[in-house]
Amino acid sequence: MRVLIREVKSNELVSGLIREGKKHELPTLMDEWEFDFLKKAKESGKQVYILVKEESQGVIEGCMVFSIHETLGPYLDLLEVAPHNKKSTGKYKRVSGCLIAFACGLSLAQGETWDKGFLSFRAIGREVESAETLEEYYRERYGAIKNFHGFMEIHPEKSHQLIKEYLEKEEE
Amino acid sequence: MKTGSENMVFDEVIGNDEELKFTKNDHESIRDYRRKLYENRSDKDKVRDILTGFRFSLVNYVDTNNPDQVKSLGLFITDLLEELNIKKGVFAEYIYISPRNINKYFKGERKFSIDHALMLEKLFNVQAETLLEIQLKNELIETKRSHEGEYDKINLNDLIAG
Repeated sequence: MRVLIREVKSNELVSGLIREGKKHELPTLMDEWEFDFLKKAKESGKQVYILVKEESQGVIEGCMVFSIHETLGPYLDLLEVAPHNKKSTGKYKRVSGCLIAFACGLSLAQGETWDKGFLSFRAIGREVESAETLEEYYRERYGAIKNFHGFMEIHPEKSHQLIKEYLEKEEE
Repeated sequence: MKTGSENMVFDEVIGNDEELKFTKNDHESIRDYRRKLYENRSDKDKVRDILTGFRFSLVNYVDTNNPDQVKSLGLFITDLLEELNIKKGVFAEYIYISPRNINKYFKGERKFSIDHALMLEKLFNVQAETLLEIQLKNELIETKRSHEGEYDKINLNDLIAG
């Protein structure tokens, strides 16, 4: 799916593409990513998607794993922006937003009746206190709320909004 | 957002590798909670959820280069009708297709016309171009696969050289 990400240096939107990642191109710990997406992709029922720029499709800007969990329904197992997009020197913004909105779209398309439009995930940082900061961040940025089992959840109304903001908006 | 938290925008990481474990009670309480939330949604919202999912699937398919599996427009519509609980025969008559022929459209043996696409656009709030693009994309994939290598000999220099 075509998306727009923002180049920090020029502050311009550039075309990106979210597509299923092929095993040979998935990031691993060896590539300085925090998660081993290749390992995760080998588990049953896991769908792995990557975000690349249209003009340089060999460079992964972000990666995520989506699945349908028997209890939680549509579930975002893992999401990570590329090492070169982290911290203040990061090159592109909107990568996480586009991937999360894409996962919301998958939820609406693949979720069973009751689960359509819901997306659960765990906000986990490197340290305990950073988990809380991340939760607050996802609450503010993506409207996710923490459910009574400690999982962050995006509800259908918010999913529609995120899809509109990140997947349907032509330009800001 | 707090001042100085801009770095979080870049430092986005979700999840971990730990296996999800739920007791039977946890499972039931989460499912029950989800069911109640669903029941509180209006019928209009439920239809909107289904249609947005439908549009997402179509656009994602159109934007995917060389999809592993070719999926006909008819199959996308079959799935949608099932979710909306609309009978195929009723749908066929509504868009002026003979119920006896509708399965040929669903199987991809017949193509939806521009007229059909415009009716579907109005019904399902999805652009007619997207619907027609799926048919065209599938036709291209099938033609390329069945004529593999045949177009390799086509070359502008040969044409210019006469």
